Amino acid sequence: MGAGIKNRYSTLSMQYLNETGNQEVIKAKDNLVCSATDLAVSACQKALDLAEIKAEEVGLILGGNATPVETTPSEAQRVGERLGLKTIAYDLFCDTQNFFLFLDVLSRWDESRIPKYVLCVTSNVPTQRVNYQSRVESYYFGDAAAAMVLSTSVTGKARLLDCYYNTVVKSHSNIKLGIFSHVSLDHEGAKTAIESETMNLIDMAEKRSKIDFKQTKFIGEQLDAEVLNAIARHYGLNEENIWGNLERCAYCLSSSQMCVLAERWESLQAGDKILSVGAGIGSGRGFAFIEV
Amino acid sequence: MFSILGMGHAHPQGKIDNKFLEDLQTGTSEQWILEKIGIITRRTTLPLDYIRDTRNSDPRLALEVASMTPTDLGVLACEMALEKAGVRASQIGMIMCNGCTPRTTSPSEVQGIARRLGLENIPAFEVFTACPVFALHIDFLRNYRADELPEFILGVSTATLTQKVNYNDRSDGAIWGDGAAAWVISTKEIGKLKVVDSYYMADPTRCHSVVVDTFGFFHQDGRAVRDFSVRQTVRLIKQIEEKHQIDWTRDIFIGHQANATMLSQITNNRDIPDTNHWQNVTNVGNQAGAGAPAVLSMHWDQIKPKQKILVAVVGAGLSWGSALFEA
Repeated sequence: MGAGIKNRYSTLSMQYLNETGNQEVIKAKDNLVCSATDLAVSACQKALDLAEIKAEEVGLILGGNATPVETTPSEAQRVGERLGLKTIAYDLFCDTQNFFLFLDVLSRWDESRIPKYVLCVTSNVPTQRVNYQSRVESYYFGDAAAAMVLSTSVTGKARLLDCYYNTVVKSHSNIKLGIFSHVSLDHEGAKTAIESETMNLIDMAEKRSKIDFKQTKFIGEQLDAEVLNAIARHYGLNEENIWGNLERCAYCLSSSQMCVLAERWESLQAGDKILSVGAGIGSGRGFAFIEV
Repeated sequence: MFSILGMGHAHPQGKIDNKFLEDLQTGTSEQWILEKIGIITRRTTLPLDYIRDTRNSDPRLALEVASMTPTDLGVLACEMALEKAGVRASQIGMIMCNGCTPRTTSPSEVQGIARRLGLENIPAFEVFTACPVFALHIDFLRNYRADELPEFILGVSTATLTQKVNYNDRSDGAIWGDGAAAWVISTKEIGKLKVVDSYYMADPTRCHSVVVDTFGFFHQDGRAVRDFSVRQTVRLIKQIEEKHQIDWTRDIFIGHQANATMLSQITNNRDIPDTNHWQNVTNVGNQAGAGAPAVLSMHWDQIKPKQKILVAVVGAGLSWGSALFEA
């Protein structure tokens, strides 16, 4: 399909996958090498380590999981349990753009009501919902979790310059995750939507902040490399400034963009600016403009 | 300053009474149910024949036979709330949902409800904690800077938990009912109820005390949850009594609609007379996050000027919260 994906991670047992192709979605949960919450906790622990704070300093956990094995408790509460925390925890969830939703909501809050440290985590395991006899879905999806520690009172490595989240509810969604059914993806529709909607958001971001496209790092929707390249050409982005992981990780729903940023975290240099945009898949769309 | 302008609720027509449950011969009886849980009937989207014949042993089949979806119920509740608020759907600037039994996670429950209401191009997202969501939504909104919220916000909680019950279990079948509740909140317009205070907290270390498996059933550590719920609700009420002038001859208490017997223990502890305790669990069952706000919606026309209404809810997560309103 030319999307540029070479590998994807999966929480499924390879033996199970080879033997069954995950034909019955409900059997996946009994054939895992690890769970979505395992991934989430691992991501959180790494985020806490990099932030140099202890879990018990977290005053709020916000979570999101589009592929839960339990609809109750929430992902945030499952993570809190594993971290041994008695703290405010609930899910703040949109299907595919949790990164921008977290940032947008928190950026609108009265700082006096935000705890010193907020832990945001999104964990998605769409391979557990893939029919591996499907050419499209088996190709595009991978599993991942990502987490971030945010503070309004402690200066961190990067600060948020601008962000945006909105929902455009359409009659036709190009991705569908039913509870008992396999995931379905209209990949051609998604590619078209990602390209046009991403550009709309980049234009919006540029109107609101001065963006030097030659210097700014760009993280786009991690579905298709050709689309990302088209966007990059349109804005004259340098190839080395296009950050992504779709080649290694495929598309991991809300986790993708946060994962890309997390993978680059330790190599961020002072003065770096990063524009991350998510749009075109599902109903949510957003961007985050970050400065190191 | 926030106000609730209008509220709505929706329940399916199907009714499961205690005789029906006794006749399933799972070891329960009408007497046991009334003594321990205090529920007489509960509403369901499932055909009674289906429950009788299959005990809902395979919850996948429930989706095929159910008379309504959680989205259907959520939409009805929202429409009622909008009508009572005198607000058009097109005026809503943000919608939040607590979908406990979504049929799809992409699109999510809130997106399904938003699409049916014709809401386009507004932030739509889940703020989810199951049972105590009404308190959470109020507290969540109070976090915002005043100028960052739209004039009208719609909140909704919906669940069809009878579809997640294994009717071979003698107690789970007696608890759950299906339902939805919705609320229209304004940041600018003065409505029938002003938000006076709110609180939300959780103890995730106990979150697996109450579980709804995505592909399976509800299950809980009933005794532990029950005892915790009673104690924590009493604490929540005391917190509000200490902070605000509450007069239980005038003001109203609404608890989490899990169990009428538990609610009696709570109201006895705080000397809240029956006339000032509103509930619907006896006739509708436990509707998860929709329970308490549905009670408020069902009593909307009975609210008197100057009355304070305290909603104190404890449930899954484990999480708990309160919201105090004044008419």
